[in-house]
Amino acid sequence: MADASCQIAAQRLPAGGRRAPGGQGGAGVAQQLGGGGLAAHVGEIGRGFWSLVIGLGVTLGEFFRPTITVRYPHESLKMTARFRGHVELAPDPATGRPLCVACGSCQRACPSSCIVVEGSKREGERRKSPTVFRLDFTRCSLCGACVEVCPTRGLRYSKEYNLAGTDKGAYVFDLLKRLQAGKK
Amino acid sequence: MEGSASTLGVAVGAEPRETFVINVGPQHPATHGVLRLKLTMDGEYVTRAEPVPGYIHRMHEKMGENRPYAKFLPNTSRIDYLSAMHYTHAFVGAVERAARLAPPPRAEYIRVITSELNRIASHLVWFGAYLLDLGGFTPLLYAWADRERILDLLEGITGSRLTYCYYRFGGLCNDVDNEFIKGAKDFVIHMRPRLDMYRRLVTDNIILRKRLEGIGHISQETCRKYGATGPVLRGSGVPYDVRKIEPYSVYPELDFAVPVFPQGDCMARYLVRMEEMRQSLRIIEQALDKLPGGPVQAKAPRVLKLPAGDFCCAVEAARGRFAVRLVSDGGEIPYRVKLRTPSFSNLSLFEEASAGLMLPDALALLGSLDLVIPDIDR
Amino acid sequence: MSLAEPIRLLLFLAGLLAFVGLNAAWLVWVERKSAGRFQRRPGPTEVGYEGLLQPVADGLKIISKQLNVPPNSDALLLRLAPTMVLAPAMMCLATIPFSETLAARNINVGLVMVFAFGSINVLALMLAGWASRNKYAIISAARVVSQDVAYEVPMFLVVITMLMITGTMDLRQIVEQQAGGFWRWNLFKVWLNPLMPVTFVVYFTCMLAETNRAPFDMAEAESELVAGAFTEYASFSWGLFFMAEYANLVVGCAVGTILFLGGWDSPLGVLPGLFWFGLKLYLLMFAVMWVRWTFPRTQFYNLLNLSWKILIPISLIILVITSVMMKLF
Repeated sequence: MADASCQIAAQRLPAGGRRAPGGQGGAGVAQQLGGGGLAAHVGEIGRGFWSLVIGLGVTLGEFFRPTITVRYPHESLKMTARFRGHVELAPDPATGRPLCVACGSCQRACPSSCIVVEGSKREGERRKSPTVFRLDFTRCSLCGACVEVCPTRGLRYSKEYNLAGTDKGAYVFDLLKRLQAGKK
Repeated sequence: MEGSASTLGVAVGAEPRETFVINVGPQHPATHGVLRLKLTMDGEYVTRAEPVPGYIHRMHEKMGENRPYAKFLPNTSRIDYLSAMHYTHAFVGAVERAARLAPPPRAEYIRVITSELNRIASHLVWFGAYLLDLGGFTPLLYAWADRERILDLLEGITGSRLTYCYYRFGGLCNDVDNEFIKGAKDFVIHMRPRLDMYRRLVTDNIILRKRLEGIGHISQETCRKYGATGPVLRGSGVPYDVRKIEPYSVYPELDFAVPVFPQGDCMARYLVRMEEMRQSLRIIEQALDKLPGGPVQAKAPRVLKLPAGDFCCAVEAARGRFAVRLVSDGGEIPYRVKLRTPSFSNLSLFEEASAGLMLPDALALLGSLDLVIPDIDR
Repeated sequence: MSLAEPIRLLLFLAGLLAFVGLNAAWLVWVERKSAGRFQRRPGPTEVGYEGLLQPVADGLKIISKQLNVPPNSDALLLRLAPTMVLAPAMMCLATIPFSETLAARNINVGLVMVFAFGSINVLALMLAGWASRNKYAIISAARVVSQDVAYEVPMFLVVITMLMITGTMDLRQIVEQQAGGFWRWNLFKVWLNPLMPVTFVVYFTCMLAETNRAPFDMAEAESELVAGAFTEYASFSWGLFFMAEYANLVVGCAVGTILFLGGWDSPLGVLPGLFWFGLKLYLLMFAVMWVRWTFPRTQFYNLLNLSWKILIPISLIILVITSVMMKLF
């Protein structure tokens, strides 16, 4: 077993906690009156009451500190840089077209079969481009496999968190349309 | 009382005492999860408590059998979502042992830092929910405020707040930045006085002490019989911690103590967890100081095939010992993924330990076991 | 110009009803806001400025729910119980002097009357639980009775101590004895009763337990299981219980103010007596809420132990010491 040096033994019992294991009710008081004497009992009552006063002091201190709550929707927070919203297509900064080459690696890497991507070669281009890119966000677990496996860094996380809706179909995102609409 | 027999359908025969059965759950007022407890009560006292789990069985182990190793990673976070990093660590550790992959030292240190942050966050949830069970509404919110800071830190590096998918086979998916390191150091400085505040407000409080001391005694023999681990075991005096007994990652290089209290009552388990938070802060501090530079991802094959055989990895999760056993037949998809979860064993002793307790005391005992029900059912 | 006595009385009683109703409504707002501030969050903010109209919204919601009476229950007692809890509290308020001139009816045994009516509260809660014919409600109601009876004894012992000091049961005279500067308040009369602060704390604790407020709300917060004695009460009946709880709290704090803090006496001598009475009353109410949001619930046997084994010996000691001191001085 582990050596004794790595234990914190229970020397510091909480003050006054000398009840028998499994004991219920106030039998301890009678024992203490007979055994420890009146002074010990009164001392315990005093210490107990003082612990309550200290607790009250703590909450009163917290009362006068500012609230932590961010009052959404009147205020909202800025998402961190690496926040994992649902994935979106990353555009080529020069042309604005998706970097995606429709290789299908993300589709194969996804554990939940969320992605459907189809593509073809356009006239005069060496690489395929996507014609269909659907993300079924109802099944996505935000594991990041698709983002990591993409050979062209064509997928990135969006910062969308405001995704309340009434229709399940609204969560099947057409990422090409999203890119064309220019949402960031 | 004429109402009772007909409303409860209990046959009032010639028995000396009439017992009745009540259900606690599967929906709890407190945040335990979907666990059903069939309590046979004799007036105020629990004569028999039968836990009925299975309401959130999601077949993680079956899912492990029909997808490649990399695709199982999101599942690991969701087994016990409160200490998700530990669970991912165990799975990734098992695969790394099998594939002879060694993550670089920087990755190991970051894994330890994030795991210990996760442990503190998990213990804060336990603390808040336990006090809520006992009727103190305010410490929950204070614990939540501290946990927010941890979650913000982890969101800054992983992007997620609860179910991180951060570890990969051979390292991490991305590196931490200086903002995280500074934030973690600030958090350690901020958290220590907060732990003192919890001690003043809650631990020393006479009302709480009367609720927890001497209640729900669990002997070492009971723990051994049911395989309880974690704070339940250490609250009964057994100094068993996977980080010391079966060291993994860089824990041997870090100096920390394992809190053990021998009384075996609810208060002992409570104190173990409060002290563990303090020790986790120590670990985080040391790991931040010793954090080496370098890469965070070792070279790992894209398509991972483990050699045939049996591989295991155990970690000290927030609730106890979590172990993953992989049986591989040489292919991409494991033959069997066995998840040994601590809450299942910790729950099993509830029936024996709660016999003869009054109902509020039985619920105090349940809270002190720190169960996460998805961890029981997987 | 003096009005005819019955008309004055009627106006006062109408005023009291309004006072109780408004108190119940806006004390909920105070409670929720202070709970929020203790917990570093804002509390209700949406309805009205800073949530001030929230009680109106809650009231509308409560009124609009269906009043259902369970088939097995005793309908008469079920409907009677909420009224029986609220009426005594209002009657107690009739005798409390809010300022030099504001008292519905000054009764020369006012103190005894307040506590006599307060005891009806216990009976009404038992009726509520019994009439529901629900096993959990009955268990919870029995606990409430046991708790309330246990805490009435130290409460009365403390009040008897104060009676020895004041020599009168007339609430107005008790306040008039303390007039003229805050050092004359009963709380500070330590030459008559050296344990006066302890007496006040005992009174405060007993008041919390009598009104079933946290940390002594084991019976109603048995919502580890069900909702306690009020399980079978829906919408407005439950609202009445709620109002009654706050009304009882107001009565308890008002009597505490009168007995210990000098009633409408002003320490600075500038503002009217009603203002000071209200200030002290609501400070005590704030303390009640402060205690609620800080501590966990006591376990039931600890609750009873506290009364029988700690508070009663303390109050007896206080009584003896006070009588000795009064004899000597």
